[in-house]
Amino acid sequence: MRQEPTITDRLDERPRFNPRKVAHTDRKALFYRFGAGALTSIAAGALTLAFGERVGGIFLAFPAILAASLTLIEKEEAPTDAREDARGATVGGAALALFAGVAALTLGHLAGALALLSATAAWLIAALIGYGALWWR
Amino acid sequence: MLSDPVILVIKGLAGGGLVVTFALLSEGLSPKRFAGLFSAAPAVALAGLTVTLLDKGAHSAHENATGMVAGGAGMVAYAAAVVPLLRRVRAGGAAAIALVAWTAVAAIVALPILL
Repeated sequence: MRQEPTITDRLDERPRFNPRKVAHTDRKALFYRFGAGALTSIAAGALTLAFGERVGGIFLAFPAILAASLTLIEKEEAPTDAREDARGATVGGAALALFAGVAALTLGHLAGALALLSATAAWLIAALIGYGALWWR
Repeated sequence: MLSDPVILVIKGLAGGGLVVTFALLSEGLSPKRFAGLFSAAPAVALAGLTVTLLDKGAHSAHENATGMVAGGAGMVAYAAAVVPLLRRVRAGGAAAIALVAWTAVAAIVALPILL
């Protein structure tokens, strides 16, 4: 049996995208993820109304989606896949903090759409660089 | 001018929609560790900040994003904590317990941001 890689192991498998896997996505799983995303968004908005924008903003990075994903992956695929997904999410999470930083620096100084685009690009680039630096063989 | 409840519904629909979009992308990606990058995608943040920008303006969105830095730091701690927990308990339990890590780190980073 193949040993599960650790978080420090580099991976032989190259990243790839398979559209057929997307077409076979379980609709119930998507429904749960929609619910998790919607509830988190509403909660962040409600907390903003109740306690102010900075407090509400904390919950824009609440890990509800990751929690929902891990539960679904463990159920539909395997516990090792859930752990691998979480390992990837450590780098994605660091990039998410960078997204927030770039957004905080640019909103109010650049046009809104450009600020969010910059922040999203920063997230994506940081996530890809992080993956490549840590885990690309 | 839309009422606060309507804005919340719009945020919910936008957030849910963007989460599904990133989830679909993640489903097609492999290996799983690479797909995991997108489990921490800024879907909820993009939806929330976009609606806030349109509804309340740039200053409010800026304040939201400032607070989000603390949540983002918490997300790193959450993901790091959940991996060893997944070896010991089921995903649902691990996800719940790891929230302690998110809360602790987000609270520590939030202190200078909120004060």
